[in-house]
Amino acid sequence: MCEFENAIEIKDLTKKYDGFTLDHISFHVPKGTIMGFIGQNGAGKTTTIKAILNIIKADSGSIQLLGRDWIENEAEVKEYMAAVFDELPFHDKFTANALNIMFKGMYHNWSEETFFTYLDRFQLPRKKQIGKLSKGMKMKLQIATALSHGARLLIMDEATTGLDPVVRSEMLDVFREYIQDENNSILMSSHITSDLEKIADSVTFIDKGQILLSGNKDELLERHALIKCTREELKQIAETDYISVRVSDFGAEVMVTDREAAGKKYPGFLIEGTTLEEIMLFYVNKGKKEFT
Amino acid sequence: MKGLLYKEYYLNRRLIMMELTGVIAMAGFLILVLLSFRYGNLRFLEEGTRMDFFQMALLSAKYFPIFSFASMAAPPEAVLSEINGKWERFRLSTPVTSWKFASVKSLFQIILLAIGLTCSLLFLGILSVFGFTDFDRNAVVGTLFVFGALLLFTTFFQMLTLFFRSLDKAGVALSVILTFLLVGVFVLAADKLPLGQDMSLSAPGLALEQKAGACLPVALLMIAAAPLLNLIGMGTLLRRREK
Repeated sequence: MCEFENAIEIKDLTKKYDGFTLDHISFHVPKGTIMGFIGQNGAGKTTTIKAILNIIKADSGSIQLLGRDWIENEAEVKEYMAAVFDELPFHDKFTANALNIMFKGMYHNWSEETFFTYLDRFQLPRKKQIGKLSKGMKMKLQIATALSHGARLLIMDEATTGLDPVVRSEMLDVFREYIQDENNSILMSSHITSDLEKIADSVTFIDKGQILLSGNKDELLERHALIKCTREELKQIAETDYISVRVSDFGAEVMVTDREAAGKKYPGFLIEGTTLEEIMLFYVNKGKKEFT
Repeated sequence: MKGLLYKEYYLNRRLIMMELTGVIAMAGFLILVLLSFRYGNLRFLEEGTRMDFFQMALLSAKYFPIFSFASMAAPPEAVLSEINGKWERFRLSTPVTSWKFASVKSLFQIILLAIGLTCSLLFLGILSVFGFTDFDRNAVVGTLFVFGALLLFTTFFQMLTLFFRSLDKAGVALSVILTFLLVGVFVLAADKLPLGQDMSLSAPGLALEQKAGACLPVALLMIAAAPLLNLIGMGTLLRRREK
């Protein structure tokens, strides 16, 4: 594999459907990092991931994976990447043992030892049919297969959705270990922003086919803040200073993009830190004057 | 390639075993039926009827293993469900190209049909031991011809299923095509058809064996063409579908 700086580099990716357009998407996932890919249902996350995986053909734009042009080096790149989906994509009749034999014949770098180590670690049965496994076990099996062929890039589409907190936490530990190798990278699309807050290095927000925000997670969380005030006090805050306003019976919350500047400009107001979920919520409602 | 071939084997291994068991059981039953024409109650049938039934039973006995495995070798429903399923989405993220996927399916089709053909030829040998038929060139060519025709037919149906992405639509399309084909043959060659003649159901099979010499090149052509068509058709349709 050649040297590369960014595990994923997407420039001006465009795909038009009837009623939906992925509109000039650009972002990159630096090598050795985890990027959280966030957006509401129908925002374009899965379409972007499908384009990255070459499952759909983009109308325009370029996609580089692991420093290589994806389309021209598809077979080689696929050897070094793994995709994890929200549902187990293997046939229900398979067992873990059978998967091992199948993938041994499919990937040059398949490691039987790594696979069985993961199976033992996740306490997964080797001879039980996949269809009879629980959702958590199925996801663990998918992760085990993804990590057993020396993949340098892991692309996950809502992989932890629907899992209980214990399994999710176990999975996050595995991802943390995986990323210890600085050559490995993860793109993780998820609704569960709390998981991304725990492990992501950077975050990209997508909405209605457009990237709203992309950057270092800690910087985003540090920069953004919520000003909590009454409806009367809200009138004192300039509209140009905030993203959007959430109103309730108890008052209003205003999302600002520069916490420090807001603190200086509005010294009497209560300014609190925020979460990725709230940032997403306020950005999605950016066009509206107020939302509840 | 090896991995995909293993997948095909793993998913179909029970079906293959069931099919083999069924073929052996059916072979035993058909031999008993044929023996009954010689030693059992069926020998008391009126001469003409007895001959007709005997020929039909004999033809069934000769060709049923091929029919069994041909229906299994191009299972359009299984291919469709695989292509429409989650597996396909996953497959596209692995180093498996559409052509590789299609060629493995074609290779597996050939393997299954080779099993069917071997069973048929073995059974033909057994029938000849009992003296029901000759294990000669004509019989072998007849078997190959039926094998090739079925192979082509199932491959064509599979292509239709993939094209329409629906088993029902493919069935309707096939019915329409066959109707036009039959009507066309009827209109163009009505004078050559044995219309109005008293003809037994086994007559076409017997006629086929009598013309075995001429049938051999056609049989070989069909056998070679079917997996090739399967490969090209499936590969092209998969590529087109992906984009």
